[in-house]
Amino acid sequence: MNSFLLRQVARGVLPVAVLFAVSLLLRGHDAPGGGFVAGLVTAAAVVLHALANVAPSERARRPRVLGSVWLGLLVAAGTGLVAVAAGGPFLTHSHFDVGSGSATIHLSTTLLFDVGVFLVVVGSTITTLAAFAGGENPR
Amino acid sequence: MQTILIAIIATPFVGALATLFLSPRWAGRIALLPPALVLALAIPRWPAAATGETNIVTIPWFPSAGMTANLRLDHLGAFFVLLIAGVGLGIVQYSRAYLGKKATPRFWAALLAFMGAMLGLVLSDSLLLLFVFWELTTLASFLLIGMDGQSPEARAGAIRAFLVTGAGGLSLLAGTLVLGQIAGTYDLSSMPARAERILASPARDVALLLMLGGAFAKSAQVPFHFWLPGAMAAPAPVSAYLHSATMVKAGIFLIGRLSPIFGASPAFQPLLLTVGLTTFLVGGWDAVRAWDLKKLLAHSTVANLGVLTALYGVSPPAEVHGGIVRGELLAITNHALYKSALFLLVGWMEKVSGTRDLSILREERWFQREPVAGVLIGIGAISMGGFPFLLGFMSKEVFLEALLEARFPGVVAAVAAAVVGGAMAVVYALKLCVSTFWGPKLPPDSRGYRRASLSRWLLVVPAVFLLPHVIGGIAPGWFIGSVLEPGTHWPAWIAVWHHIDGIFLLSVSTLALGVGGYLLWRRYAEVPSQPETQIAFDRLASTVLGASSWFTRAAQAGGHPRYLVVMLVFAAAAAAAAMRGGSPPPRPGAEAWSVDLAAASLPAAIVAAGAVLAVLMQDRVSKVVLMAAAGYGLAVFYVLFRAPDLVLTQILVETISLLLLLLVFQRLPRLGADERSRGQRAMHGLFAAALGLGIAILAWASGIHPAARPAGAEQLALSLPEAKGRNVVNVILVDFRGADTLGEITVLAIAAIGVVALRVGRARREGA
Repeated sequence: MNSFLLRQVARGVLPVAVLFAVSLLLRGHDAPGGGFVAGLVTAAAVVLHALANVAPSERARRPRVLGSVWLGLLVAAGTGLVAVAAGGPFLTHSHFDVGSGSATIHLSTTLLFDVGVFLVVVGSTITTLAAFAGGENPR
Repeated sequence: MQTILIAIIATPFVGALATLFLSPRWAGRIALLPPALVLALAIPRWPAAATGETNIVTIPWFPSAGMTANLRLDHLGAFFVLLIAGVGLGIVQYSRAYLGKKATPRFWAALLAFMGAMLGLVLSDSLLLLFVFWELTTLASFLLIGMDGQSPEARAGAIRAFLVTGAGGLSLLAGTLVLGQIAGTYDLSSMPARAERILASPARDVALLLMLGGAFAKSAQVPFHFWLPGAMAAPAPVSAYLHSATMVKAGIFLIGRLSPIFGASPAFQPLLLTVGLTTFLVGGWDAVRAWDLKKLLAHSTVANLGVLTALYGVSPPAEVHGGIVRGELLAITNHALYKSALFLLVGWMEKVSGTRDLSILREERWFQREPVAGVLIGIGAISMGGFPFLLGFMSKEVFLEALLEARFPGVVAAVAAAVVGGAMAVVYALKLCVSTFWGPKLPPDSRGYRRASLSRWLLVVPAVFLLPHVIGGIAPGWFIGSVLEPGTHWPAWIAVWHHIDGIFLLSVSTLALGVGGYLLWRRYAEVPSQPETQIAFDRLASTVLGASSWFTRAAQAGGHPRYLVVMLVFAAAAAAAAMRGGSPPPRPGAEAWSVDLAAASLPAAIVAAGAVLAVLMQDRVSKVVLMAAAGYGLAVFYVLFRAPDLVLTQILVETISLLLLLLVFQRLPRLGADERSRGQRAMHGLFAAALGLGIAILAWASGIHPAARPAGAEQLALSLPEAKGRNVVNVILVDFRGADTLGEITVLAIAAIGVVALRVGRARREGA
């Protein structure tokens, strides 16, 4: 899988895919998308990039993304705890509108929770795939 | 009081936790603290508790189910607290000297955890709490017996003890539930008041037998007595502490707690007396035949536990005060102290002489070299044999008196059993003190440790344990009547050791019989050619283990085909069972769901072609690619049903799993020829077809049948006003069912750690 064409494609796809994932994440609450799907898109792009551009012997050592799993769990659970700190039940979300008129941006803690989901999905998917992509072929 | 009781239970557990993080040296030092602290807390409470003051602390646990975690400090409980902490303190000091470097932090943690569990057990007023601590002691005992995991004997002994006492624990749990249901409470202290109601219930005997089953297993009564000698693979201090002084007394404690409840039941006392005396005889006979000094002590412990059980069987129920029969505390103190001292002294002798095999020791004259140990073992042994001037004598007298005063059919047989058992106790006591020390030849220097290398604590601790025996033997009236059981009415003769009546004559004839028996043993006993075993039990244990591993293999086959078949057939059967009731009429609005057949035929063809080809193709890569094709076909269906979120997810999941499978497959060998038999293939085909049919019917039925209460409409209506989101799928995921999602991503995280542990960790080790 180490071809020039694949390398070029992977290089081009990665930023586009990440942008697409971010847009999926941001619009998730109102249109198709969300943290889970965005995480899968990102993971797929990163793995494609790794398969094309990273030597097999390096792959198993390279991804240090397990941290993003912890961070994601922390963010998601922390979002829920914010509500508890405010006296409400766990995982009660709050919403804010910033700006006015047509320039209003809607913000809410649901997005933060979705970011947590996103981080966990990215971390665990890449970790799993990389675990099998790396190293010598034992056959 | 609440704080004190909780502190008594918690201190050893805190100590156990602390020792885990310390160096072995400091762990041993710190381990002295918990028993000392518990003693300091408990001793000031003793005078009040001994005269009958009872403190009950109410701690709600699960109020709606009537469960409490109540604690109680009364005479019996306080006595056991002092016993556990007092002997525990000595045992810790002895272990530090005896085990040396072998005493790892893990050992200290297990020992202290055992101490805490035992304290919790004797302070529990709630039967449920008692059960929890009961099981904890079983667990700790398992860890301590099996401390030397390298030795097959230790492992077998640990497993045997665990199986027997664990099964007893289950019996206790069942009995607890039955008793709790009959009584309407799980609090032991409120049960005696409801004794009439309990005894009137038809389930009374079931509850009694189950509870006693647990007690008998723990206290090594016949027919569960065989685990205790096997537990002797543990180091000497562990044997002394768990298997003579405290844990095996837990069953006796439970019987004491039950006696005010079941005392009037017709089965209670005869059962205890019969089992107790049988155990006394069986244990005594085994001890007479034993050649290993430690086994001898173990069998004699079994015998003595029989006496403790029998004592509850003879005293009239009216004389049971707060779960204590007259002489019970005396008997327990007596046995706990001399037996643990003897275990410790045998540990010393093993170090000094390099063996505990009586067939070797009886040829050697150890007294000249070890006079102190000889005298101490002598004191312990003659207390065990029930000779005058020591506490053991008083204990035996009290037992005989209770037997003689009791009026029940078969009293003659019971007295005869007591005399024969007592005579056997004299035999093995003499074996222990005379044969070990007074052989014909001088002992060799070649075996054992050098005397100078051994700590003096190995003799000091047992000497301290034996001190109450001497005091109690010389001044029994003060020791028993004022310190141990002040609330009890004692006969006048307890004040002095000598008195001449029927009891005394029985005592003397017991001693004479025993001495005669010992002389016969010296003359005729032959060393068995093979070591003693518990063959019947080992066969039973291996049957149990075999059955459980068969069950494990059946349920957890370790192979994909079996798992899939079991899970999928179960799912299909459950779905089919749900539809058995016949089909209600199609929903009126069902047309809204249906799709254009012409448009749907294309994805349907893709799915069908993918599925069929995946079966026909021979190599793995083609199979998974075709399966992915079927998955993409499914995504087109979602497009037709206007479910964009599902489309996105389906495509991405399909892609990523394809990628993962391809990466995995490059590491697997090529698929060989199909080795399944024709019948197996037909079966698999049948399962697959049945499953496909079941799912198809399910899909069809859910499409045309009206849902009883469609959840979707409600969520759709609530999505924007409640959660301010237009995408109801995402609103459900992050808001309405946010906690579920949190759980799911936690599972993902755990799976990722698993992959790292299994795969990446291995790659790193191999690379390194």
